[in-house]
Amino acid sequence: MSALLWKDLRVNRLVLIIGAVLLLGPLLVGAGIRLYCLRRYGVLSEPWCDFWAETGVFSLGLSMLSLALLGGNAIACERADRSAEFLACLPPSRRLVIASKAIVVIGIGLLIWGIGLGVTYGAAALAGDVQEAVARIRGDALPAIAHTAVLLVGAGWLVSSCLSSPAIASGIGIASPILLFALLSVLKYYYGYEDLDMRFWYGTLAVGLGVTGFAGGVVHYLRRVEP
Amino acid sequence: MSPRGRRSAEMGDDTMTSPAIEMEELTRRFGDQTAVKGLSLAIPAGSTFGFIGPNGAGKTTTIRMLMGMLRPTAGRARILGIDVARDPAAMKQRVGYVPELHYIYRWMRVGEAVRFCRSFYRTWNDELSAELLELFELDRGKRVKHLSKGMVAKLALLLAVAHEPEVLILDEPTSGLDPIIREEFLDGVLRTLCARQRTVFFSSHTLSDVQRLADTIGILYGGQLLAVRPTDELVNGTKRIRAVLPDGAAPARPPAGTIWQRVERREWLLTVTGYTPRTLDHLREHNPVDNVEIIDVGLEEVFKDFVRGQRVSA
Repeated sequence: MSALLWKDLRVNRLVLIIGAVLLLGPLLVGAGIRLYCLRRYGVLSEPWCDFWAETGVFSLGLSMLSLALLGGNAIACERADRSAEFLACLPPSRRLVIASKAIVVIGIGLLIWGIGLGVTYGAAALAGDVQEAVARIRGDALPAIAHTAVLLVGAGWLVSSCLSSPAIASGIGIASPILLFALLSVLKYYYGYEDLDMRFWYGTLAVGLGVTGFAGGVVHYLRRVEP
Repeated sequence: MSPRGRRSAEMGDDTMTSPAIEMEELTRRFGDQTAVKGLSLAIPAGSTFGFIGPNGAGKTTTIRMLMGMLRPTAGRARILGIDVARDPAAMKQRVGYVPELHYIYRWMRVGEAVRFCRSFYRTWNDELSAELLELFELDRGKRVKHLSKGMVAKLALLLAVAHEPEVLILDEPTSGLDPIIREEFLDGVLRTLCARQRTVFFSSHTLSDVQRLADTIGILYGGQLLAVRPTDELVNGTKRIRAVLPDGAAPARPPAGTIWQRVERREWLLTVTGYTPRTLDHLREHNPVDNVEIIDVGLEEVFKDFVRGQRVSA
């Protein structure tokens, strides 16, 4: 299993680098700019607490893109370069292979969220009143980002399990929340469901579809015989 | 007789009788096309089976079904008694496979590829692996993407044999390799063969390789087996007969075992498998022939005539 995990991490190296840049880039760049301003002008436009909370949420929003890439890349990338054929010649069962991929995708997703939330709440708490800061920067955006992340990964993963193009799988992953939002908007504004609670239904459907997509991708992979 | 055949004969091993690879009515259709039609075959343990056929005959499809990488439309395949569709993982523990095209992770270094594969086998032989790395002059630190085609083929062979599989399946392993690399590759295969009682199933277009290695040869055409014979019997027992017919006469009844024939003016050329002196008597008895000449043929001619004969009858 450890060899498969090592392989899956290495196969997704580029996606991980993109993820790290999207997650940590805004934090580092923002902190750098603030330090520069502090040194040059001696004052800051907002307290550090607000900066960490605000940039943490922004980073999490940006890193959704890397989660979509991760989900889309997970299975299809090995089909694209046909290394899946090499893996298929080796003894690990398909169950083990998909388990390794799932651990990597879920593990990295949790890591990204761990870092993001750690910065939003942890660093902000160290720098001041975190509750107030998060409230100021609309911390309620976090659940919507989390729901979208689940949908992105699930949709990308499902398509990745069926196709051999990671680009198409990631593209469909990225398009899925837009499509879901568009669908709900059409229902609300075109078909007259005016009392439709967009936030609630978007969250529920995004998580439901994401989890179903992920499970569907696993089942499809296990049922398929071809690499 | 192939080196392996001699060795098996000398050993008088009774494992030769139990099948290591079995196919029962194995069939695979792709839409309207039937790539493999009801293939039934039993390959005894310890033998070396050469699988030959023209492009598109169904060799690779058969091998992919054997390796559990393609679902048969009908029929089933067993390797070492394991149903490959039911338990491919258990089967792969005991089987080594070298495909025609090698898709080893290109970013891996040779040493990493060896360690990666090693982790999946209980029977991995580090000593053999190191020996083959040296024999094949493979640099552990080099990335797969920087290896030549021949070196990748040798690495694929190493990865397929270092766990000492009981069955080795090779799908056109030497295609596209230069003669020197091909020789080294075949030496590697022979070395593996001679080290332990192994069953080898291999397909190839290089018939000299097949003749050199195989105890038994199967000729596949249009997804069906045309012949399965011991190599010696197939090559030595197949003869080309050149007969001269009288003016205006036509052949009446070709002898049994005729796989291909052609009449050009007075010359009647026919290839007969399972040739015995009685074949000639039969030919003379039933056909108005003036002059008969027997010509020895090699495996290449035998193969071509089997395929040509099948094309004509189709």
